[in-house]
Amino acid sequence: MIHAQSISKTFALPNGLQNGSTNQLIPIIQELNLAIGSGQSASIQGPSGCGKSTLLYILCGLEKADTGVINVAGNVLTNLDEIQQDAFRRQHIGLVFQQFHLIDCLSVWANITFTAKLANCFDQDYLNLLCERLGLTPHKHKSVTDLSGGEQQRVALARALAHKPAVLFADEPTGNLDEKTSQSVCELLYDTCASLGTTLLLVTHSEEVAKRADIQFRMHLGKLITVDNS
Amino acid sequence: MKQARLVVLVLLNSARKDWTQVLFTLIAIIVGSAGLSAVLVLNNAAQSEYQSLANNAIGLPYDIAAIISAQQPTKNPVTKDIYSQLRNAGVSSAIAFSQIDVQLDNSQTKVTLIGVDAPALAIFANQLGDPLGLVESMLVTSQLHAQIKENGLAPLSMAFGIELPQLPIAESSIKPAEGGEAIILDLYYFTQILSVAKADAKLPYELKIAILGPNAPIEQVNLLLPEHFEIKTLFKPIDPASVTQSLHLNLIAMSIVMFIVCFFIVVNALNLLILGRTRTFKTLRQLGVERRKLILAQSFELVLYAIVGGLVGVFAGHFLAVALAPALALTLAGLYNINIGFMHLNTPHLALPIVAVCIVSMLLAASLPYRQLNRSLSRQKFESDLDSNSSRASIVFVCILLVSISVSVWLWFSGNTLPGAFFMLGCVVISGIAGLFWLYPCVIRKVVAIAESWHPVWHWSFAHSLIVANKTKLASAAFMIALVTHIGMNLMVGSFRDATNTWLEQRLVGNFYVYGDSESIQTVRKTLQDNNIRAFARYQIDTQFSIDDKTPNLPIRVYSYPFDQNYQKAMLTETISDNAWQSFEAQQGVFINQQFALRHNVMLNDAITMNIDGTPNKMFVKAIYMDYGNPFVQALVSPAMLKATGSTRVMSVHTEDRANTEALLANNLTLYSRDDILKVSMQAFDRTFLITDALNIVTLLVAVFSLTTSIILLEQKSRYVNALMRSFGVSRRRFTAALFSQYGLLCLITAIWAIPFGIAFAWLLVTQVNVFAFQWQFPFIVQTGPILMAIFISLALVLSLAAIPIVKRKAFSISGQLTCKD
Repeated sequence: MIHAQSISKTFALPNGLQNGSTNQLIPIIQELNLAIGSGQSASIQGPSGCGKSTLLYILCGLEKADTGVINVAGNVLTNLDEIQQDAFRRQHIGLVFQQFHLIDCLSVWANITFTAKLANCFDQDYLNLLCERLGLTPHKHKSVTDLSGGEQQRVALARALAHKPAVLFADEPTGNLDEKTSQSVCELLYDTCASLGTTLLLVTHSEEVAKRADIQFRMHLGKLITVDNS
Repeated sequence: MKQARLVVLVLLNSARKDWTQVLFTLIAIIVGSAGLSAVLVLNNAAQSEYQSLANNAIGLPYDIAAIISAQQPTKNPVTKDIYSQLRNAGVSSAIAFSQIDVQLDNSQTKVTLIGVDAPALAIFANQLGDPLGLVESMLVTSQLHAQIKENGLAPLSMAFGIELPQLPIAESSIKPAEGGEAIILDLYYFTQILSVAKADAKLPYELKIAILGPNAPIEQVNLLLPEHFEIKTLFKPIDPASVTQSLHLNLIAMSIVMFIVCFFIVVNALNLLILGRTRTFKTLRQLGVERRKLILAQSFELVLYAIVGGLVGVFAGHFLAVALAPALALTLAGLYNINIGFMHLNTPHLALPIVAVCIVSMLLAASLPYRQLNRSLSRQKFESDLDSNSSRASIVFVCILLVSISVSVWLWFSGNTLPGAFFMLGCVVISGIAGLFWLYPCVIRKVVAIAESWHPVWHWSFAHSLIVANKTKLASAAFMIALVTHIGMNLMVGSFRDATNTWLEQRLVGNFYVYGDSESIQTVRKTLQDNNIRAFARYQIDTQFSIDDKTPNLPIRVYSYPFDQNYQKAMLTETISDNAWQSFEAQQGVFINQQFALRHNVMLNDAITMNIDGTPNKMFVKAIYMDYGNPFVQALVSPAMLKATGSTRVMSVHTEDRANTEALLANNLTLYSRDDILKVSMQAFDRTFLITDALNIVTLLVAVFSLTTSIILLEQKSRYVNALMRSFGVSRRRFTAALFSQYGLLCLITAIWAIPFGIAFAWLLVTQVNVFAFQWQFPFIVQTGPILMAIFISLALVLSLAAIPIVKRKAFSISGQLTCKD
């Protein structure tokens, strides 16, 4: 489902830290390869600033890699123009963020249905089922600002899955939650994706959350190292 | 103190970061201050020049009732004997004078040299308890006096070998009517210096006699004088300061509207500024800085801005005044026939009070954001009053709306006055704003409910506009005020223009109009009639009238009006009695203008007495006619009544043949076609509203700018929404369209809501303010053109301004925005 081959990414050093007149570049990702099968779950761990989130955003088409080939859900990202990339994200990608990024001015239900309507695949029964599974049915007509952190992240998860994406990318989905809530959100995330057959790639600092993934990666010096679960 | 200084430093550093809000605040202060100071400076200059105009032709601070001059000065001049004869007959208010224009040596400055019988004037002045001090001294106008102080007597050096006598010099605040500089001295010295002037100077001067005082014995003088002297009674229907009061009031009202709009903009800008600094304030509080010191330091920063903005505004206002002075001078000349030059713009004098007003307004504007800040710092939770969307707020807004409407209705029925009319205008604006605040959530929620079934981005866009609307309420209020006054003024001017145009088209019956002196017009009229061309001279006299025994004699200008069928049809009346024209022809009926009727509460069939031909004539008001643009009371009588004594300056000619008519005219007469007059009159009309139009447009532009900038600033603070939408796969084009629709919705709600209030504003201007200020009424026409134009321009401006940052926005890092929600 996700195939990345020899991808590299460099960032220019900020002006204040430049030494001399030449533009100094820092390599974040170097010749990285990745393969995750359909319906599998994978987690990426690593220290802050190692490029985990950057890799995630490259794989979902929000960042561009300097080199390499990326194929997600049958789409070669490097071949897509801006409009095609928009359509790709609309149809095949679900995103969950650390800061939830819910739309404050919309209700819980409007937030959840947003991506489904956007992808033109609004399915009332499926969405009701999703709400039921994530325990959001009683909150459907509430304002998202009236919810707790855990509830907000469940809404974000429902929104990310509302359009039945092929791949769900989650960037530190439990980073803003306490341990107990984090555990419950983590369970919902894995279980829901597994039941829907959605491929999951998440970036996390939490060992507990990472452990539940089918494949565990650790990012080191711009490359991914597979962690042996056994 | 050290703590406060530190906080000030932090805030000033923070200002560097939030420079857009600071700039925004400064622009608003500068615009408000510039508008206010320009109008105050112009009004102040006009008032001081009216003061000198209110004096008289020879620059003396006494009313001149009449001036005696010779019909043929070279053959039969006014002599000392005639003057002695008058004075010996007991006319102590007769004062001989003469005046001549000379040039200062080596300069282009024109100086009016005025000789007055100083001893006679001194006796007259003493009788009034006001000695003028002109005997054995000279009076000079202020500019010359300042030059003398600096350079000695050199500035008084005259061309043509005229040498002034060595007399003490005193400064005079009075001025000759035509403006410029003047030297006033005793007639004895005046004749002496001119008699020794160089032979080639050719400076003929003519002796004239002024009859001073409010109770001048004109009839007695008339009897005493030989026939070849002309007694010209000076028509002073009203003094310039009071006649132009309405225009100046109008200007002040416009500048106050501008200032209020700017005040709202400042409140809005400060709200955004302080909202943006809340985190800094909280950090400073956590570091142990007292709340009082935070407020003090913030106030210090704001006062600094008020001083800088106020001073720059005064400076800009001075240049604005200089730029507007010619237009205002033209307006005054066109509307009131008053010529002033705005020579002395006393800006420094106004700088201090205007800066003080700016400081006070600034602190006042900060009070609401301060209240929120205080609450935020004490509760550790930022709750914005402006963000509050509760039903309680809605009830308050509805109450304000109802109270404002009730007060307006009560004022309408409880008696009509000019301050009352202005108060009603204020109520219209307040109710409009309160209504707008109440309306925003109601309308946006309805739109959101409708948009729920649409594309989700539109749904989000309209839902988000509620948040934007709550945070930009004050900018919207400023926009609303500007739009209401803009629509109101445009509708009023449009109605006035339409009425004036209709009136002029109806009144101008003749094909051509001949202008010139009385004698030439009389002669050419006979010639035209001999050539079978119909021509009607308009005779006029300046006389006095009384309504009943209690009413004193008041000045009035009376014109003749032909009762020919065409002229009867051309008369545009407010009311007319059935037998009006028969009575008019029989010299029993008089037609009065609307100004007369409203100013003196005269109705149809009321009797008025007018002195015509030296005898009082009791006549009945048979019609009240429209007379737009005329500030004076006037009456029309049958031509037969004025033919003998009246003079004429204009004559209508009824022929299609221009060439033939021109051939029959003397050189000193000017011929204008009907279309020429119509065109010139409408040009004069448009000039009249040039300044108010300019202030109006500037106010609207500033308000639009404020609203758009507020929206953009808020959008910049929630850029992550943009990134979020893009991450969901919303195309850049669709998102931009959604943003535009959001701004457009806000602007459209405000603009549509402003329409009824703008119409109400215009209606009050037409039916109340115009009646009390100018004493004329015209039909109120709601023209859709100006309304649609105002809305279209506002929408176009808001969207164009909003487009700049959107279009200029380069491809930003979506992931970067998503990882840091601010």
